[in-house]
Amino acid sequence: MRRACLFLGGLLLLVAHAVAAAKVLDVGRPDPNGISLTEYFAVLEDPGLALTIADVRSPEVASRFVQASGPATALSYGFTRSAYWLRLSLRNASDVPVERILEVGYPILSNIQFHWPMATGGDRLLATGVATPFSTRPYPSRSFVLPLTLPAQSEQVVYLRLQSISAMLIPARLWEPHAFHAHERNDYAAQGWYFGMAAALILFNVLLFVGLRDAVYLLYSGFALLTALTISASNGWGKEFLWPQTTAWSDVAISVLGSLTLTALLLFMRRLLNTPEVVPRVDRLIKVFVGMQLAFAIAAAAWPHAVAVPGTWLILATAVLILAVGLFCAIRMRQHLAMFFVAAFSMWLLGVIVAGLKTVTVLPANALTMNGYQLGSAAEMLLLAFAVAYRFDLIRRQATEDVQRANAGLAQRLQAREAELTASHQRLREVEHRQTLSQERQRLMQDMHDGMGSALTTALRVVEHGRMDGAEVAQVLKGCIDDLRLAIDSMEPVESDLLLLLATLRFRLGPRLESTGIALRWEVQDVPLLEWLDPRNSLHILRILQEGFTNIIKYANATEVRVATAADPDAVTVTITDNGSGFDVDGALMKGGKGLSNQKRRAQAIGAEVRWESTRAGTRLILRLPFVRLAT
Amino acid sequence: MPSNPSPSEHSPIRVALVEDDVNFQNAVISAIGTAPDMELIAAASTRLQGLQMLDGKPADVLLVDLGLPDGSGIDVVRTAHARWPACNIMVSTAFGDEAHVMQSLEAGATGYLLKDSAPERLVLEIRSLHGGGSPISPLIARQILMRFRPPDQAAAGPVERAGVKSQCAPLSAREREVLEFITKGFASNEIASLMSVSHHTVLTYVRRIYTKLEVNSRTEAIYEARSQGLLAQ
Repeated sequence: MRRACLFLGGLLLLVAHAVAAAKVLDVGRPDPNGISLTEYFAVLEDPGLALTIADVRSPEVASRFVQASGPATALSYGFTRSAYWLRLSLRNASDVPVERILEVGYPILSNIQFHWPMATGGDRLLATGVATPFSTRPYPSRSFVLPLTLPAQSEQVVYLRLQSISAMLIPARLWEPHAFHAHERNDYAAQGWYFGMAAALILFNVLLFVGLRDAVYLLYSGFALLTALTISASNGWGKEFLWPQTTAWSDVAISVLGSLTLTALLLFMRRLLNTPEVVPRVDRLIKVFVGMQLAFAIAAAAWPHAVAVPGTWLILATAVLILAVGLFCAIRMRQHLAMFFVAAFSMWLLGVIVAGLKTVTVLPANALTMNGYQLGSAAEMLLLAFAVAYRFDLIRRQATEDVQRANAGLAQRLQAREAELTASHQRLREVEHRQTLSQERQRLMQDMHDGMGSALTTALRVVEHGRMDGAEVAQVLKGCIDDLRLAIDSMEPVESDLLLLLATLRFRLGPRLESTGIALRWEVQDVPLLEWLDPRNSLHILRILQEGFTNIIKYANATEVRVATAADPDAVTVTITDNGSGFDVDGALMKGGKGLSNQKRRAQAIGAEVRWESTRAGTRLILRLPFVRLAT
Repeated sequence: MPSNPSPSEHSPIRVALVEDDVNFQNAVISAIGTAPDMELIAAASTRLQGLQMLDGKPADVLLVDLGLPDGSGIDVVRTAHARWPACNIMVSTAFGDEAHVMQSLEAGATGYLLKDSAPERLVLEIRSLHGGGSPISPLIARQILMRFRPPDQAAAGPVERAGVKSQCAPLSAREREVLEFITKGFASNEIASLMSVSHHTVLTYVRRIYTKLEVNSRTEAIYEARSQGLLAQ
């Protein structure tokens, strides 16, 4: 026991010596930005992980501590399985106790032990790190924070022991509490901005996916969500807010989430740039990378130390692939969309590089470099959102063009069809026209044959036999001319107007009638139109009535003729009434007199009906023209 | 409108004739010969002669055959209408069919004569024409009514047609009424009593309608020529 005490005392002396040789930080000059502790640390690597706090305090081990050099913002030892011991000497030269905050601002260090002397004497140990529950932290913050109290006129030595799956990066600062709180508020606000923006973009794109059912929005949302989670894992917010009690997960979260993020980005890129169709061979490579990233995500969870270095190479290779594909599509394929994509991805890459360079102290730590990854990621997300919007515009324009082309095609087909219809209509009309012409020819031939033809033939025969004088021949010829005129008149369309037809008849025959001394009384009334009154039917009506007038002139001995029209619901009636001597209608019809039977035949031919009423006081010819014609 | 409504009491009606049919020419000459109030002042048998004849002293009534051996009588009608504005022009036709008559009326004729008319009828027609009367058939009346349909009723007509229509003199309600009676077969004296006007008034209506038809057809021709660039605006 005594020996042990002596040994301990010797150790303490040695420690004191070593401490005395070390660079001591006087806490009396606080800096509003905190003081970087890098140059004040004495460092000891413990590859065997065997050293205890007692060991490192022993003079033998203590002498192996090496003073860190240079005013860098952080110590950096890369991926290592070793534990690192850091020794920090602090002096309070003032007459009052001073409170300070020791911050290690790299939130993914697996394990950190703080050893520091109590004001009341004795040592205190705090074991925290991302691999321990959040509740182990003495002060709740995304980085590792140890509040210290330095008594008046005192010197203290603080030891830190660090172990990490992630790169051994130690950006440590000493803060005056107020300054630290101010810094922390700003820092949290800045982080809040990033996550707020990410949340809005994710939500917006999820809604776009719900609305538009295009997988690209979902892939984007997944990518953005994983990016945000990865960043939360890297900046400690995941540990603080999302998975505070986890230990194994929070230690590997950044690797697993990072891999998944790149997987999502690869899938999103495939969809956005349509690589399966645009560059099918490269697309196969992309699929291989997707597989590798997924495999790495699993490996990173299972063997975090083993895959840390190859994982970095894989990330680099993936980044190169994404950039190359983007550039190829942008430049060779002239995809504007790919330009957006490349720009976005470059932003992310820039952010990563800046953050990395800051970490390895090539770049100074400032607001820009501290949040480089977030800024890059934010810029990337925004640019990708633009890309997605641009893609939507492309698709919409494509759709509009498709619709226009379809419309044009439709119009063309319509035109062709119209032309076809017009042509067939034209053919039909020609056929119809030929039919009409042929019917007209037949009608006129029939009329000439029955009327003028037979009249002229008869007259000729009679003249040849010398049994006709000039006046009689003139009579026959006049009749023929009348026939001809009525035939010509019948060719004018009367447009269903029976009165016009009767008027024409009067105009032609009236003078003939009146020249024989017969008074004509015109007692027509307006009658409805007869739809079926075409030239053929008109000529039949004219002939029937002409025959009626001829009979009156020849046989009736009348002094007055009245022409009247009337209408009943079914038909229009034309009556020609004379005040002549009358005749035996039935007898005449029985005898088969040519005049009456001709009239009857003509009436029948047009679906009309003609009859006679005769007394000694006169004769009435009644022509009944139904609106709907009888079957002919 | 002739300046002298009762010419028989004064100087005789001077008649000129353009006719290639010798028989009809003789029929006209002999018919005029029997009429104390008429004299034949010139006769031509070709279009060319007819046009040359128009350089001479104007006649009161010009009788023109449409089918002349060296061209259409329509040219003679049109030229006569311009050269002899006071002359009443009538065309002689075998059938008095719508197509020929309308063409003549549009060229400036105000009457027509059927070639088979008896000599007394022939003289009567010339006298009536000189007195301001004009024959009109129901088919012609209907044709004119259709011609003068207001643009809104002529739905099938092209737009420029409507534009011409608006420049043309429309028919008055009374003129329209006369035409409608004619299409129903009423004679001019019957129409006079139906409309409670004198027979002479009905005749002047018809004459006015023919004048409007001719004027409008000329307007349309000018319009047509302008729209086709054949005539300066």
